[in-house]
Amino acid sequence: MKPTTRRLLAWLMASSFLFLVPFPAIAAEVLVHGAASEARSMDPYFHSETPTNSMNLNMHDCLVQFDAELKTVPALAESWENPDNLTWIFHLRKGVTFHDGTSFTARDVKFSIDRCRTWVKSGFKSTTAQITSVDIIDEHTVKITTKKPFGILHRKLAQVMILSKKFVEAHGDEYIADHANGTGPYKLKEWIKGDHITLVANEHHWRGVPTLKKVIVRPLTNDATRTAALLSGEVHVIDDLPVRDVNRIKANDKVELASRPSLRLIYLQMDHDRARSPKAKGPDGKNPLMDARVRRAIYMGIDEEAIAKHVMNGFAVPAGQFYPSAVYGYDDAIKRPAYDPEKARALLKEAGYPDGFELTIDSPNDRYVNDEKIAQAIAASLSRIGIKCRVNALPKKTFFPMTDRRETSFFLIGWACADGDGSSFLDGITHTYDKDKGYGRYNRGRYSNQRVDELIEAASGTVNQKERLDCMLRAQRTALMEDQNIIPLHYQVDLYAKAKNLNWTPRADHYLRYFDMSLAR
Amino acid sequence: MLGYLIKRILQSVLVLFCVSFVVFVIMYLSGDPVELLLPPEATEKQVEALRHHLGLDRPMLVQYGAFLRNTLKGDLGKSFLFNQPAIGLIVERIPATLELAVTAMVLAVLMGIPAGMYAALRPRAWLSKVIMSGSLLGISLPVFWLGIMLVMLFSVLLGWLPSSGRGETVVVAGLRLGFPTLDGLRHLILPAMTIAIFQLALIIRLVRAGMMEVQLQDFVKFLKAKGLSEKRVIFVHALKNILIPVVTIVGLQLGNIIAFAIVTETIFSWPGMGKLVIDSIHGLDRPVVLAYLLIVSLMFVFINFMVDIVYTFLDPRIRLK
Repeated sequence: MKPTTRRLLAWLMASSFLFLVPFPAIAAEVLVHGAASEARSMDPYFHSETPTNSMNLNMHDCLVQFDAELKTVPALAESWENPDNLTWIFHLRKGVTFHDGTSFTARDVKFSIDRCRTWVKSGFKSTTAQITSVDIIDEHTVKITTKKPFGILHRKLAQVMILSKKFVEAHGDEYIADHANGTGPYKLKEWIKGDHITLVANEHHWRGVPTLKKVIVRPLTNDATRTAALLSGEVHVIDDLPVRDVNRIKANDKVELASRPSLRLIYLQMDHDRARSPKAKGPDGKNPLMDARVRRAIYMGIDEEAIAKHVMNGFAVPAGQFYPSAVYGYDDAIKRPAYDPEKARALLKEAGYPDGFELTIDSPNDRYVNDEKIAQAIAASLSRIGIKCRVNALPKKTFFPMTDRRETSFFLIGWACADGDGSSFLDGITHTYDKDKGYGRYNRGRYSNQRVDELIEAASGTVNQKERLDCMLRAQRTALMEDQNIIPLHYQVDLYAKAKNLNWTPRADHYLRYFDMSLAR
Repeated sequence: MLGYLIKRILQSVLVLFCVSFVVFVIMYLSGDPVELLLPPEATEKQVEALRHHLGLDRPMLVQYGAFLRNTLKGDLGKSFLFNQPAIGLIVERIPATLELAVTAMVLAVLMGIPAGMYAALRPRAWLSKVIMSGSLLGISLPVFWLGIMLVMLFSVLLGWLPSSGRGETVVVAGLRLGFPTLDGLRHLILPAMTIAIFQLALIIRLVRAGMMEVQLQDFVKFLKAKGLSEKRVIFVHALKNILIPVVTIVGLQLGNIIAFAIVTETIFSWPGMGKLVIDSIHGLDRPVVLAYLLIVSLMFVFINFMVDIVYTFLDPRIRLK
């Protein structure tokens, strides 16, 4: 070929080798995290959602902290006590500084909690709704008063990050949306929106200097890209691994799966109080779900092991109660009964339905993992014990208002006790619906048992944790084992994938705390 | 010339006004953003307080009036989702999208014009057949599939190129750019190629068709008879004549890429405007969507204006009126 063409070709080939330089190895003190969603704001109160909270909890601390199993441990408060049912005294840690060097005092605590409660754009108003006042006793002591006895105030305070009063007042809301000044183990070095957030270790952190000196969080929202980034070694850990990529992770010898049951229970709610129910009809037209034997028959007639194995690909833990073991109120003694279609059929016959009845199961189709498929599997299970079950799956925008309007008889839904305490399930779903007292807001089946109500109210009427636990355990046993108020299905499993040299196990609340991670060489 | 300029500017203002009104009405009718901003446990009172604070409880025309007044002052509003000025959010991301779009277009033009010309001048060569089949594939393959395939091949299998992100960037004249650094350049290749392949295919076909038509014209025969070298006839005279449709398409497509590189940006986690806009639409973040569409409209208008200017250089018979 012509000399110019030859020269051109040679030049092209030579310059292409520039690009085949292999990736520089990431230093063992730098972690790269491929996140499924990006944090919304560096202002911790602006929006309460998992990615934002997870990011901000690395830069800020709260008075109390959750460990990986959601037990409360002291953080910025070393200890606390209740002189009476409505008062909490917190003793603050001394010698703590914010990233800009200023000292942490009671003034910052009062400012932070008040901003949480009163700032118009605060996404944490309901978290602090029970607090009537925060009083400064001295530089390192704070007194918090609640409207009514509130046994889980310390759990709520584990979600309120403490800001520096001087910093926020000097710079304003817009500035702190981009800049963080907390007491946490990491400082914000750089945030290029959509590209990455760089955190550097806080050398003066009160718990000690973090092992990982630098953390880069890259939002990789596309599932395929996120998995590819882990497989090619560009990131060390990814969250929300799609189930279809599990085999590819297993096939690669540099990465591995990390999973744990999440807080979310997927369960079935039923119509307890209407003899004429829209979507549950026995041969005489009456609602069969009002009979506890029918409910128990359905419970035993659902093959949950098969659902966990085939519908959820093994990534679900069959459940026997309202919440998983990480939640305060979990009862070790309760076990899920085995799948027993014969016994289920016998119970139905005893209740007066030897030939079963008609039922429609309502379910969202875009809210929980494989929600519609689970509903279909349940319908198949129930048809084997004689219940003719139809599936009605709807988008969440339509589904939830429909359940609020009580146009359902039998539906699939989920719940996560985000505070790590069973009271949210008991107060919101198990207690009789009582708009004035604020109970049973999500008790769409209108289950009602006065004994259970008394136990639940006793638990929320005291700050003595042992008393609360005792009442909660008894309430759950009565509601679940005697009355079968709901039918638990399974706990969803959080799936992550990480490089083999990353030392880390997932937390119950889906947050990533870089302080607890380290990289082996 | 001045008269022409003034006319164009007035036209642009009218376009922007219409766009802003249509978008405003659509966003207003598409739903209530306040419900999405507060957690589900928020009380009615809290929701109303936030709605009033954001000014969303006033009638639509009053809100539109306030929007126009603020826009003339240069304030395009604060994002509901991020609590930051909308225009700041977009301007932060424009350099990334522009870098991607311009690189993709430059690659497409630099490879497409020679390829198209070769295919027209040597139609029976095997390389021409390869080029034409390749261009057919390029037009047919969907962008999201192509992007993911490139990532699979070059990042996961071969490990030659990074799969996502922008890499190292430097700030040049206030703009954050990646291509001055080697690392940034490596991150730019795959996303730019993903976009470029379609544009390349388009340009190849246009150039080939134009070239084949021009070759048959009298003036080419005349120039050859005059004794000019084939090189000069093709590269100077013929090329100028076929560039008008090419420039038109390049202009239109450039605007398109800038506005709608969303799919590529999502696949490669490229921090451009596209992802911001999709999130804003889902989250009913009206200030950001409005600001984005106004800026994009402005860009389209500007690009088309440049295209019209370029015409006058290509064809002296065209007068701007």
